[in-house]
Amino acid sequence: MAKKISSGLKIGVCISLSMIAFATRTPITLAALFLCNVSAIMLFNAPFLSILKECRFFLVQSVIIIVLYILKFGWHSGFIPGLTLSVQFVFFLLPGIILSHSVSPAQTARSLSLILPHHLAFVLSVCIHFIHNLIEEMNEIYEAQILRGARISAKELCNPINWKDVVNGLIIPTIIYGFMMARQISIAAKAREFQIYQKRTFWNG
Amino acid sequence: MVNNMNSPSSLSKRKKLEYLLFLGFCAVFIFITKALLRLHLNIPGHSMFFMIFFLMLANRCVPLKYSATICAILSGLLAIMFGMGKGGPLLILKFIMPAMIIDFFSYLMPSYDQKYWTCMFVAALASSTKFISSFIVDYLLGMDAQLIVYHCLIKSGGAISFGALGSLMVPMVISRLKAYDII
Repeated sequence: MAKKISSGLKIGVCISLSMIAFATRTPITLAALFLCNVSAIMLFNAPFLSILKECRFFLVQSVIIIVLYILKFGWHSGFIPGLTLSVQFVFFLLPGIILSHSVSPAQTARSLSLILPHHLAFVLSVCIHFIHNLIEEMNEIYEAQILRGARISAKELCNPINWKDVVNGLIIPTIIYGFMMARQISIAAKAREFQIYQKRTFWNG
Repeated sequence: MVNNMNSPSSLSKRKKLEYLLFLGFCAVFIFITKALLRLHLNIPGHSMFFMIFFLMLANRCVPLKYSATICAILSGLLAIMFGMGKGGPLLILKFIMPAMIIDFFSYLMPSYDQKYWTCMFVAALASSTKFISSFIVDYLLGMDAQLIVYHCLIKSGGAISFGALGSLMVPMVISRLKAYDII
């Protein structure tokens, strides 16, 4: 079933689901969107457990968003909007994760190259597919830095003195990781003779 | 026809692809932080904080021409694809205009990243383009002219403040990346 669905359609569905997340604000529509996402996972034959594992990142983000809302608006009027927004945020990024598990980067590049130059299509497809890797890596760096004693937990970030730790402990390692990942992907692409001909070629695997 | 991987031409191609991919990752970071900051905290321009930071980072880390603009095009495309922000296809202007200012000033002041005040100056100018993009969107929506000016002034004021704050991280990060021999 999943193989019969074209990659273009999968990309279209995932982008639409992501866009709808901004328009959904009531619990009923959020529940409907949840069902739509679950249906997409099942129809596209995406690995449910891997997606669930990657969703751990959203827990941290949800806590940060809810704490910020409570600090600004108080417990009574801040908790529900904060919770709603954090759920919206989950549903905004979840289709991207589903997409990266159900469509290969080559298929995404092929679909995007219909509207973009091939090189930009390749870069964009790689970036879309590595969004969850970057988020996962950021999450791991964040947890490791907290274990090392960096003052970057949601509560500690209320104090502006601790913001420097975010730059040193989270932003710089993530940028270095981005550089390393770009280098590895470019070497892998070169090893597969990427850019050898002017006209785009691909292995239909 | 098959190029040797170690030949200078193939190496430069690979390096170019590596830089393009890094610009793509910067675009992803802009996209993610823009999504994270959609908190409706009633503070205009707060998404400019990370946008200016990553555009400046792309400009300083990647020795390609128009590196910040390429990064902005990629993040704009991501934002349009995922339907983020107001303005539809015009959304890409919000990304490209600050990036063009940053690229322009990197030619005028090649070492602007070494001082905090030059970073803040470039960031403030880049963030002020928010006025133009907001003006276009509000004008197309058919708002009253005087209201458009007030609305855009408030928005661009916030954007300039947050953009300047975001640029304060640039000298520190660039010096650390140079120390680690990354750039």
